Amino acid sequence: MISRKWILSASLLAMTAMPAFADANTEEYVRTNANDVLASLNAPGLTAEERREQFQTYMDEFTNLDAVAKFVIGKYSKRFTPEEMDLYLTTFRNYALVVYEFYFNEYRGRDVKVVGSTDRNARDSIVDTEIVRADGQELEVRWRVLNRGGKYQVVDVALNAEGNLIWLAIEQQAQFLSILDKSNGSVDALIAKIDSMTEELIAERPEEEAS
Amino acid sequence: MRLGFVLTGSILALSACATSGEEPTTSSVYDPFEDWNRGVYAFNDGVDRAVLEPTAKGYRAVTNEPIRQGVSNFLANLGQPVVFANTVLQGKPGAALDTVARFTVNTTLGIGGVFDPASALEVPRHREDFGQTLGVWGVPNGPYLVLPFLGSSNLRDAVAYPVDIALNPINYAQFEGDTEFRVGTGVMGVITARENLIEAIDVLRDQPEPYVALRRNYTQQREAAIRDGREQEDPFKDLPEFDDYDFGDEEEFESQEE
Repeated sequence: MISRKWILSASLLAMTAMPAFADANTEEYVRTNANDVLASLNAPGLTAEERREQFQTYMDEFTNLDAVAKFVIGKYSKRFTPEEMDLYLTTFRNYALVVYEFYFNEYRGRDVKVVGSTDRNARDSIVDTEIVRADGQELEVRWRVLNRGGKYQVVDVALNAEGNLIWLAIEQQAQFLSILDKSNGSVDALIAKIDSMTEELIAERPEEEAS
Repeated sequence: MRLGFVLTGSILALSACATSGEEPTTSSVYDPFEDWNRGVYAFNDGVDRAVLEPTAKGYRAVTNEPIRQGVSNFLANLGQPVVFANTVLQGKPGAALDTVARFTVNTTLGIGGVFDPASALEVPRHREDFGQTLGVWGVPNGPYLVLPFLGSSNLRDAVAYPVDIALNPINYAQFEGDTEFRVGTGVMGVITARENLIEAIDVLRDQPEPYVALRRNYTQQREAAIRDGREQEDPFKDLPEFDDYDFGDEEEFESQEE
């Protein structure tokens, strides 16, 4: 009996001593917000412009675009002047929102199902989801969620391509660093490239219909 | 952030590794011949835009999905002896039996491989080549290479490529019109492969740095293929820390070169 009590006490102690791992919270965070984001692109009764504004509001809340923007320029985030950084952050935000909208459109109105999660540590979790597209194709998407002072935000998304996890921010970092390395770290070269990609994506937008 | 991310691109088109054991998912690909490779990449891109892409789009325009699927099935079935040989070389008897079963069923009931009743019977399809076999044996990728006309590769896969050609009995079989048959199936193989990649390559070309995107994607996809599509063990352990980039020291940034 004593030993059972001891085991129970030790277990309780161990549980209370564990860091506040956040599986349930992060899963719920992703479930709610990812669904809201995809639903916003499908909101009936809104004009395309209104849908876009709503989508961007959700994205600003759901993701930490400034952290992503700095991450994807890696070492250069310490080298840009404050003025260059401000300009770059604005440029990147415009680009990222257009890119997200462009690609999330394929999944608008679809249901995001949470199927599991992994805590890297108390402040850094990966939430596994499945999204079924309108054509029946099932996509495995992982969301990396950071908890900073109780505020959850997504900083990267991975797609599972036949066992290969493609982390989008990591892939983008490799490409941005290549552009910066080739131009001796020129913020102007990077911004020009990002602006041109943003314009191309806007030009490729499907014809918009007001609902 | 190119969701091109999203499936099409990622799966279709897009990531390799090196003798130094670099981690392809989070950092760099060993590419000591980058200048040369970029030149070949530009050449291949030109050939693609001038010949392959329009041909593939034309092929899609004049055929329907069942026809393209039939052609694709036929060509895939022709390659099953190579897959079989590599499953044996990799010591995978289950996969070898699956491959024999697929080849037998599809060649007979599937009328020469045009139809794929083996899939309907849920016989698993395996994709193996000698580059993967060398990878399973522990041979490292070696430097990344871009080969004229053939595209992304690495030293290991480039050396392995002729072995796969040598392993395919269709390249030795003698019958009336054998040369025409080999040329015809070779050409159709290229057109079919390119047609399958139409969307993916569009996504790739939309990337900020298509060369880098393809280099990483090719490498990562080959690593995954060597694992037979299984995820890495503990796939999150090497993820970079975002805090480092927001608040880290300069030294940490210095260590993460492309």
